[in-house]
Amino acid sequence: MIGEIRDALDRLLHGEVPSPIVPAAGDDDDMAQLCRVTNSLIEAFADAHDFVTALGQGNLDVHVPPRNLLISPYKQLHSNLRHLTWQTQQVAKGDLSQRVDFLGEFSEAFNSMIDSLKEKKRAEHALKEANSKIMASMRYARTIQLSFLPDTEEMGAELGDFFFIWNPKDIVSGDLFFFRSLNDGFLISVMDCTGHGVPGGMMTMIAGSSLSRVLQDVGHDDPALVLHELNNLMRRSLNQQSPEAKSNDGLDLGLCRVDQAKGLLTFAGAGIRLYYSLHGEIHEMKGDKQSIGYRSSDPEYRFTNHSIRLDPSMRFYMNTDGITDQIGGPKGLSFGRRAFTRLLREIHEEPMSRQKSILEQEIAEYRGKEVQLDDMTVVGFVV
Amino acid sequence: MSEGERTAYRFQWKDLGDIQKGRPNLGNQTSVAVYRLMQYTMRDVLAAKYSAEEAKIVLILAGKLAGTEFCKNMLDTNLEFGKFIASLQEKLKTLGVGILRIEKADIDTMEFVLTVSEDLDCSGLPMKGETVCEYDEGFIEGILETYTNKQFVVKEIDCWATGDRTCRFSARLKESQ
Repeated sequence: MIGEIRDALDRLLHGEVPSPIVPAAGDDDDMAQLCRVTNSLIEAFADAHDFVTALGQGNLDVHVPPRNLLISPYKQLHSNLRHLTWQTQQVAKGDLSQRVDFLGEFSEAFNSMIDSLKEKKRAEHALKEANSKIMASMRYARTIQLSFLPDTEEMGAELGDFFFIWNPKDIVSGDLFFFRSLNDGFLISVMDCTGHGVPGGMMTMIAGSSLSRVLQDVGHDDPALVLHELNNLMRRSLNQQSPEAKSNDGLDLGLCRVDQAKGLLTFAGAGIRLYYSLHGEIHEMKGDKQSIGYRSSDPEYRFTNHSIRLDPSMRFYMNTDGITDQIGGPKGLSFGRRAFTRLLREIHEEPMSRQKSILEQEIAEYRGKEVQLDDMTVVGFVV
Repeated sequence: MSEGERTAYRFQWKDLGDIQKGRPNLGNQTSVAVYRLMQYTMRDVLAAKYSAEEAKIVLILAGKLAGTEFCKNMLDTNLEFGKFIASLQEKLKTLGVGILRIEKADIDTMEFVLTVSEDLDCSGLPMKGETVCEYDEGFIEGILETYTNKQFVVKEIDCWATGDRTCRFSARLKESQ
């Protein structure tokens, strides 16, 4: 029996779990007692072995053997680990009120992490608040800008049929279109100012007001002259006459003067062209390559008028480059003027409202998941 | 009904008195030994006069009343669970009651496992072979019931007096609910 007990203790010392010792029939009380105590030790060791092994493997749901004094410090460790797991879960849910105390360096590390997260949360909150204010301001700016767009009832009364797409990239647009009824016809214009969002929006306010001022000064019968004067007024308004000027902003613009009494449309363009349909084909009037108002824009530059005799079947279109430059499609290329012209050829005989829907759908499909790169404006009209 | 026959508790927080006023020099603190002296002598007298089981029941009920009043007067029960536990932890630490740690908290089933280390009642006691934190069981029950408005059963699983280094409690809803 002594030998069996010695072997059992030896195996325990080597980290092995021996089988329980079966008392022999003739053992005296002391021996039986020694046998029982040894078996209790084997049992406690076996429980402790399973528990500590599972704990070492990170299994915190392991059964905790009760009343086993061999593993008291490990039970404390197990308890602490379970608590830290729970606290970490709370932090993951966004509860930053958790603190760890009396766990040495871990407490410092954990609490310092919580402080960092709190700081980050505060910064996020401040950013959200600032963003919310900016967005509210932007939305109001959009309301103001919308009121600057032409009155569609006025356009409808003057034009046979028309549509417009005005799709800002950032709530407020750097694009603008303009319409004015005249006694013998109307003026219609599309503008694409530098930038988008707030800076672009401010530029449209300056450009729109300047165009009205120029029309007041030089009249509306000579679009090329209007562009020339607008170029100089914009340069003066933005203090961009000097090569040392700090800003360099301006716009592209297409302007049509329709004289219904003469049955004539006169177009002048600064970086924007006029498309029109005739006998089933789409034709272009290319504007000049000179933009308006920039520091580099030549103040002496004379723009070109292009005139065409009106036919009731004609459809006219002007657009900003936000559509043709939009990235998308399977190869991630820009939509391009060729595709735009082809699309107009396919749809120009449709009612204007239908043309608008098709254009919007085609552009959206082409864009897919790509971000909108620029403001988009298209105006289509029938005289 | 005479004083001896009443069953409703009459304890109010103000019964603790104005300690600042009453102890301008000795202040708010005392020793853990003095606290334990009171609790373990009272436990002994209750066990001798009634029975060990009765003494345990009285301690649980007293702890529960204390936990209820503590929760009502010292804690904000409007906090969400995580924040409530954080504030309870902080309060128990500041008052030197113990270091509370949550091991498991299932809000859906209302099952909790929590530990109290450096416990005011038992940490450092000689081995007794049985759990002795009945007062804590009641105290935790009182806090949980006041916070959740549901009835709980709290049981001590491990205790310093059973040879463990920390007191571990399980808490679950009473089955009748």
